[in-house]
Amino acid sequence: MGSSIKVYIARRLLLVIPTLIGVTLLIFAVTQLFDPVQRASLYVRDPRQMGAVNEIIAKYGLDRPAYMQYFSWLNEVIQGNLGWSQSLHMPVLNALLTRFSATAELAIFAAPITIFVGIYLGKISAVKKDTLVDHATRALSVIGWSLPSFWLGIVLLAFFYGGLGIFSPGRLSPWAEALVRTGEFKVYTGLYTVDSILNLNGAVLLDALSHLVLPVITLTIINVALIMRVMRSSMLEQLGKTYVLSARARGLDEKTVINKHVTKNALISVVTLSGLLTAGMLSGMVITETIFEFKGIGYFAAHAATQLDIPAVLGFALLTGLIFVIANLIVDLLYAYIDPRIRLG
Amino acid sequence: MMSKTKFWSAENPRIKELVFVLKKMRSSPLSIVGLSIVVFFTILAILAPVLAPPQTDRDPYIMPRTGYSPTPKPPSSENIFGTTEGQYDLYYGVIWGARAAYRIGLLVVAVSAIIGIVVGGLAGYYKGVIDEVLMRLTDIILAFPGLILAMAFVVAFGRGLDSITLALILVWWPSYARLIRGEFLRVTAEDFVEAAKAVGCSDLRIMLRHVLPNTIFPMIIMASLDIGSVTLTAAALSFLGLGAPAGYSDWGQIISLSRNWITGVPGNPFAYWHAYIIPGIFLFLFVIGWNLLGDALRDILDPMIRRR
Repeated sequence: MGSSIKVYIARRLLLVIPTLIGVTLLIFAVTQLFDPVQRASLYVRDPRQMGAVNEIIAKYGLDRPAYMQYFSWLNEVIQGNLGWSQSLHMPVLNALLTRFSATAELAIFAAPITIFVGIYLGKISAVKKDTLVDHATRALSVIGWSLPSFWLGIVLLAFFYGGLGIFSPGRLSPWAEALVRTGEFKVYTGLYTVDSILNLNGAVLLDALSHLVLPVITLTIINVALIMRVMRSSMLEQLGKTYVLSARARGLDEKTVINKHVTKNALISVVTLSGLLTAGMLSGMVITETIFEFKGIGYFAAHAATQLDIPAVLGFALLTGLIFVIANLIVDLLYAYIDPRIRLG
Repeated sequence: MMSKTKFWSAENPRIKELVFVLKKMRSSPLSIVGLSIVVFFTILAILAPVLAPPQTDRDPYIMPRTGYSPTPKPPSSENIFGTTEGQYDLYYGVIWGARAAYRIGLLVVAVSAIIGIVVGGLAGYYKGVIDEVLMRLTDIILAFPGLILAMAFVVAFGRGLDSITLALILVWWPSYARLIRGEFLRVTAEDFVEAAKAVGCSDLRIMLRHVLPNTIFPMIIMASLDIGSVTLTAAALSFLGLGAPAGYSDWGQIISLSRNWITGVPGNPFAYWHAYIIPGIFLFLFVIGWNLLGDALRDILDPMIRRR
């Protein structure tokens, strides 16, 4: 790796700073739509403090010009104070942190499955272009793209839970939930699948997995089209290139040409999608967790929103903005590593 | 130049283009399906007052109800699609839902496109500092997942359809601004723009008469693909209880009314199937119709892949 990639990485890392300032500025701009008394809830760590609301307004200068408030607000945010969530009766940061593991567990299953299924379908669709397989996969992708996630969730629940009596909503069945709350089951990570393995408890593992099936299917179906489409068109683009012709002319068998040459190059453009996929997953979490009563940060945010719990929703938006910015950073760095034109150029 | 040929003459390049598009469409079965669905919903939306006449002089978007019992009733001769929770008539709801979907979809896309043209046009035409400032503004908004940012805006503006419309516009315009900026950068580098400048055309005239018409196709493609996504996002927000009020003919809201009834009754788990299947099918078909049409238009209009 030459020095050019170091320059690229340094420049890309520096670019994160203005983006983060922008993200905080936008959320701050939303807070300015409220009056100082409402805004005070963004600064308190305890609802009893709201009794002395004028003190808070004075302390953080909530009646002063916006640019002065920005710095006192940012200072609180950096210290981890996102305000008090009235819908959950706890500080917003605590609420987000305690519920993050549920969302992470969903993402750990849904994201890789979406990526693998998307790549696989995109690949066979391109290799078998204009055959029945291609038409079928493309039709599936348009359907997945157009399905309302909340409706898909409801139909899946009605069929499997209502009809067949399997895959109930929630993260665990009541008995497993009760077990997890006792001291016998040690919570290491908050991911019930991982924790049940560490506790050597197969029953809880199966229960946790069965509760993941429907939400993961929903998230996969609504996000897979994105990967599939790009993989397909990028495969087709690579297949038309002269290096493929030369590889075939040298007598390489078709399998090697596809797997070793074309797929490898086509995957580069799929990497750039990871940012968009992250956004799709985060938005999808809000809906999916709500339908399946899977109590992660998306469920929390949706419920907070219906109760107009301002600090909770803004805190959640700030967190997702942060995740999205970091995801895009990782994608760009990964891309630089994979694509020699950037690495060496 | 253009004024020499009559508008309806076959020599008019715009008419030629339209004929070309229609010919191309006829050869692709999926675009026919998409177009038919879109035409169907357009007719539904236009004829809503005829197909499902409002009974009172209240807001016609509020579904009529035949009682106050919570339990949905199956399709009958009185309510051909049955009723949902609260005895709201599903037939009325899905028909007027088409109108509601078009109202929010077209409004959000049109206003976003106009803001996008102004912002993207200024950025792409004048470049430099203006470009830098305006594009950083779009970066900030695009740094959030759309649905989540829209949720934050809705909480700030207060629940309701007007709020979600405004929130969606605020979230959606940056992608149009980006697109138009790119197109303006491309087109302003062409010789004919240089020529227009040389003969002393004003900036406004160059932008409106020479550059903008050349950016129209990518915008049509994007707009047609966005109507589906906007409708889906708006429906999701209404489903979450942030948009349309209870009883409003909004597909997302109607689906949310069915949430308590998905397990049916003992012995008949699908007793209330109509309450979630019927409005869901309407929403899904509307979105897939627009997505298929948008896909078809992209294949036909995209200068990179057309006429091959």
